[in-house]
Amino acid sequence: MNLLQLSMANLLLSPLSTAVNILLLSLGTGSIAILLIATHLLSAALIRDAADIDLVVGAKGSPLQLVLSGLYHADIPTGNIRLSDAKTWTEHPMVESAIPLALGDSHQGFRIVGTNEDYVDIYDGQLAEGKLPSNPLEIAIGSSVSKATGFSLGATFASQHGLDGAGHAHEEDSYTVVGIFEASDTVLDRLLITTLESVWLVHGESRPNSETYDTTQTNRPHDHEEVHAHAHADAEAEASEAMLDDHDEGGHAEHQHEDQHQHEDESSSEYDGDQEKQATLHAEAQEITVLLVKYATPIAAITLPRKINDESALQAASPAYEITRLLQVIGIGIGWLQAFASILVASAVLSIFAALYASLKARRNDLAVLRCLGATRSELFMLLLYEGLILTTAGIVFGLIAAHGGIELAGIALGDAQNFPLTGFVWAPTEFLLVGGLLAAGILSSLIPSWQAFSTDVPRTLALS
Amino acid sequence: MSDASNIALKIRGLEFGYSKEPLLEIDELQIQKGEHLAVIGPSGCGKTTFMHLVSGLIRPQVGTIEIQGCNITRLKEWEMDRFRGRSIGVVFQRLHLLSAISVLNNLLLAQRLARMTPDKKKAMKLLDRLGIAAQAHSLPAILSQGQAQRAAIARAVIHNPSLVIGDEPTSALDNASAADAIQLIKELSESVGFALLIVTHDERVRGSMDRVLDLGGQT
Repeated sequence: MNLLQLSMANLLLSPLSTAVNILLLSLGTGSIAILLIATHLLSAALIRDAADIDLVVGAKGSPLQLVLSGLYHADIPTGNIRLSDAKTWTEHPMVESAIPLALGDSHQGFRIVGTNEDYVDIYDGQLAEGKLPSNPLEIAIGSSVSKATGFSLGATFASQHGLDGAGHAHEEDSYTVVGIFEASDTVLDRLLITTLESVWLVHGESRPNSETYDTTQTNRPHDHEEVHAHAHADAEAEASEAMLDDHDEGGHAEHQHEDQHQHEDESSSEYDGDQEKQATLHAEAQEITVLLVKYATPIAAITLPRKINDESALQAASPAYEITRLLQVIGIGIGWLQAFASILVASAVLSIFAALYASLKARRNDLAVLRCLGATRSELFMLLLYEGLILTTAGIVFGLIAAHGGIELAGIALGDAQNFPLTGFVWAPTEFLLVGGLLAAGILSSLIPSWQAFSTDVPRTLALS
Repeated sequence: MSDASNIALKIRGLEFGYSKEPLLEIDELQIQKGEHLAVIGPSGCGKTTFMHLVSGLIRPQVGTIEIQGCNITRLKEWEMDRFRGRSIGVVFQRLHLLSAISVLNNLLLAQRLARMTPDKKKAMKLLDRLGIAAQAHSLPAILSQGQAQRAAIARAVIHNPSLVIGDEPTSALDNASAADAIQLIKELSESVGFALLIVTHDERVRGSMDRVLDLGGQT
């Protein structure tokens, strides 16, 4: 039996009061911890998914929407851009690399991305099975997609417009799963990756009178400068099918691009439909949704976005800037929630103080007896401090368990379809501050009762008893 | 002539008062190890103050108090606390067992505060000797008055003190329990070797002590 055990025994002597104090503190701690963990997960996911991308170039509109849709696949795109317009910037000396993405379709809520191998590389995507898509209508799926859909290699499915599953289905052109990615804890897990040409093909052949696609004529582009469109389509559809449909995401997109259904070389594209029923479309006539740009030089961060925004019909948005802005906006809401949770914590701390103070009054004789038994003033001080710390520590531990457990359960319940993976098995660095602050608050709440114990007038207390 | 090492308590030229007028004046007092002294006197004569002085809870304005050869008036407060834990046992009028912990843990805590290694075996043996081994793991609240008194006596002697001070230890007991408690504590005094100083109004106690110090008459 030592003083710590005596403190514990003292607390157990009033189990209801002790339980209520711990519960109060757990509620406050848990509420704040949930906000901290969620913010941490969100920030980590945003940073991780931004990878090495310095700039997102797309159609004019909201820059935040452009970043959310082009980088995180968490919003509808601002519209499509002509590949020829994009190419102007891929060849710019300030650009080290540029990855084109063609968006618009999905399957079971998971977005289909037409792109090239470089996109997979920025997330260090590794194939668990199969291969990367190289032929038309081949597709590789992320680990979360595989888990949610149950697709294995060779599975076929039709894509749908938009992200909500309510859009028009491209029944005529089924994708075939040729690869499954290992889990990477990035946005790649929730994507279906195909070639640009496949996306163009699906939209081209979704029109009436379309003909069979010649897979032998389509090459997956290996470089942003070689984003060629070799989709072969019906001659009648050639002109209009050279770009993605101006469909929206679930019917609500506000695409702002112009001349979407025009072709630069419409008059020169004579098609010999009777002989081969196939045609090669010029890359310049195709459309993509965004271009993910990496700077060649740090100075590009200052000049390139302004140049693109001022000198072209395109929009350039910096993920770093937009995400900082987003987190600031979210931070205001989180700040209010944290303020509310802080009130809970403050109530709990005051409750601990009240409980210790009341307990001290009832135990003055015990403290005097302890001095008679040989306890020093400091030991009496520590006895009360231990009680405050035990209550605080228990509140913190239960609060953190509830917060982490709750987030883990929410992650399991929501599954893999969510845009940001939820897991309770993370520790937000700000939780250290939370724990430190709560312990300090617990110590503070115990200081007055502890000091009173320290100052116990033993002869007077014994005389009064 | 008494052997100096055999003296448990020695007081010389003691004066204490809460005002200019001294409440308590003792020229010289010695108690041998194993000796039993009753401290008596009318209310307000300073019996409790005397007990607090001897246990080092308050300090005299003048004079010295030596326990087992140590002048406790020169000790710092924390040193006195530790000395008290090691060398003095106290039995209170209202017993004051710590209510949150068992009888056994009350004894083990007393050992801990005496800076001894808690000895459960010794504690159980003592409780057995006092006839309350069956209540060792009970909380004090469920003990009878007599059992609680025995537990309080056990806690006061578990660390082999030089001096045990009792503050009206029998005032709440009936005749049989009071006689039993005094007999028990005297037996322990003889076997352990501590001096016994009991502040009392109780004639039953007074009659069973070796000597009496009447603070009202200063004899």
